[in-house]
Amino acid sequence: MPGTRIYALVIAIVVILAIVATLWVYANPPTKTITFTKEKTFTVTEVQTEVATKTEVLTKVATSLVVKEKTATMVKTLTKVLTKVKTEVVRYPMKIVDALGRTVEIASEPKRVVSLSPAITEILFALGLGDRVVGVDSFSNYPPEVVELKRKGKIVDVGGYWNPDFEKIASLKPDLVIVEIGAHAKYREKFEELNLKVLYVRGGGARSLSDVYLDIGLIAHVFGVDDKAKELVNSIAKTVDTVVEKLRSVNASKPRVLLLLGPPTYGFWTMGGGTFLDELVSLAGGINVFHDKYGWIQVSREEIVARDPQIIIVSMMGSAGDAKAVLKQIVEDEALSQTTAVKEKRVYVVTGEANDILMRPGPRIDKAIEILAHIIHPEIFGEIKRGDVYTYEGSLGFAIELIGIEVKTPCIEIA
Amino acid sequence: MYRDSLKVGLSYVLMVSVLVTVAIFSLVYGSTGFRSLDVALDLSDTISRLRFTRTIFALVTGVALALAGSLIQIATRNPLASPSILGLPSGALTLALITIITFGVVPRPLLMIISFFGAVMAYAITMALASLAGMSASALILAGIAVSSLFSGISHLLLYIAQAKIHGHPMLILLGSVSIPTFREIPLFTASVIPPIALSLAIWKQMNALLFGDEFALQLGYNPRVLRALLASIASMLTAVTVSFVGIVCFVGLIAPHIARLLVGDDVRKHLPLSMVSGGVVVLLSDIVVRYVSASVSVLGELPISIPTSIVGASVLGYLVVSRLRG
Repeated sequence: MPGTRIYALVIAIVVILAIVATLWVYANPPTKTITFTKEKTFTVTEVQTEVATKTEVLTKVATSLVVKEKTATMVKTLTKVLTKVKTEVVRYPMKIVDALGRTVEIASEPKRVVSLSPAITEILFALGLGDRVVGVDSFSNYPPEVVELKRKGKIVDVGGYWNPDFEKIASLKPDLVIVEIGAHAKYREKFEELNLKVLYVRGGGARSLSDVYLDIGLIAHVFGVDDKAKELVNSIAKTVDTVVEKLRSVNASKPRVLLLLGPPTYGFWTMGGGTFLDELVSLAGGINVFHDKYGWIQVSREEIVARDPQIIIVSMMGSAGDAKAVLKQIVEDEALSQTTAVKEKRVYVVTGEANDILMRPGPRIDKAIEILAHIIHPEIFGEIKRGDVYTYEGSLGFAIELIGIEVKTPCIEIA
Repeated sequence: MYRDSLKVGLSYVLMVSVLVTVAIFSLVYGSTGFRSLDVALDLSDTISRLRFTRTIFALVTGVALALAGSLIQIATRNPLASPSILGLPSGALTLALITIITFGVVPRPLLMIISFFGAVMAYAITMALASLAGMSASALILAGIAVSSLFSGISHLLLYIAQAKIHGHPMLILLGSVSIPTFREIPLFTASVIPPIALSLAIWKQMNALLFGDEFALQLGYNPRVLRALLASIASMLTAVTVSFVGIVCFVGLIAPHIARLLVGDDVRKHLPLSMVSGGVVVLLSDIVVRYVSASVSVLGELPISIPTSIVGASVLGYLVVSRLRG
């Protein structure tokens, strides 16, 4: 039948189109290759040398004492040093209860540590344990040396925060893998299967600032650097207290704040009460409009309009272009444009490093509060002056101006 | 005869009153609770406007898809056919996404026309495959499944790529959501749907003839091939319009005509308008369910509308398969 031939031709054309389309889409194959570096294994002799050096120092001090006849304080210092050495030697094996309630047995001081969350990486480096880190997730980028070490291959990228590559983690033969409850509790059996020693911290599930401090303390205790942790926590708490005090001293009003996590394209995700971000907002002098809800929630336009936030902050990953697009989206949105926040031009998009700082329950929490305080109370703390926080000025038309650190770009017409 | 007309009349009264009730409920209910009707109709209020938009879009989408379903079922003389089974919506979405990826966001009317060609392309391929396989009822359905799966897969991939350019959650486009369109787009949407509806109602005689068989239609002077192509084009247009605004909504084209035929029989004059009303009811009810879930379960947020329609639609389909194909 003549008709059949035409139909067959049509099918052939479509199949060819499909193949061409697939090939075109995959025209740029990934070029990154993963290199593995063989890490030095720590041998017993190194530990012995360490102990030997310590005893050497002690004997040196002892002889100098005898020779120089120091005062009682020197003797006290010596005893302190001796007792410190003693506790260091007796520290392991230790049993510690992690955030998931499991009892983790640490046989000896972990020398090869893998972190599966950027916040945990920051905590490790802030406690001075960076030399022990052998693997981090792909989002870990702070402190800057992490990026350097990743590039050099000294630290291996073991995959995303949400989907770590277990093969890579296992091949690194770590002594300890530090993970978060929220994202990694589901991999518990997988870790057991691979015989990996895992320590769970609260991480993103931190219900308050205290939970973040607990995480820092937990990690520090495993490595015996509790003093460092105390220092770190105290310094964070001091900054927080300064902000809170300042707000209290001027009896600041508390505007209603909506903090959107990620661009609206993925839905309106925000946090309710019982999250560390909610506490950050209230410490920075605002009221989270969804404080009555609990946990990480998705909300509708209707609910946002009904609660009428006075400030909208969108925290997301992305470039300046993405920030501009999201600002435009919110300002032009039928429903959201009726909120007080849009009408009073208090819409902020936080990207880049500022977004990292806000989203990570780690040692930079004090900077997070500062950023939020600047955004929520510019009248007290001054306007936010970061290159990665975007807001808009200009008429209710479509001219959106990006405010960077010093340079003000001219009004950009959004076609 | 008299009893028949009475039955038809009562069915219409029933369905229309259900539609009005559900529409009012949809205006009055939302994730922030109930409002009184006069407040809900006051369109200067933002929340009322949001609900009004959703209600209109849900209603008109239901009407359009139900009509498309009826037309396809008449054209193929197969009660199990529907636009989604034949791959029309996925074809429409695929072509629309290719356009968006290549040219960025295009004006809506252009997008609708391109989606139309996408739907027609999918229909042509399904027909080609089915006729090669002998054009039996099962051949048609199976060919449709093959084509709709193909374009569904392609559109999933394209959606991943186009995510940055489209201002809507990918899932909400793939499975449909009336939360995507805005108030401003209501006139364009309704205007695009009215001509196909008018045209379909105008050719009711030809459709009735087609139902009895090709020879019968020929004897009456109609050309069945042209007629079928026309019905398929109207259905493609309706599908393309709904896909451009709310994404892919499943199963409405299957169940609404069945509900109508169950109540008033096969005569096109009687069951076509009723099928449209039923379609509106189905989609409106589904949207109310979606809003209820969004209000009470915070982690789920806005569900796509195909989820409730699929659950109900699949159950109806199960019943139909058993009742129609048994014995």
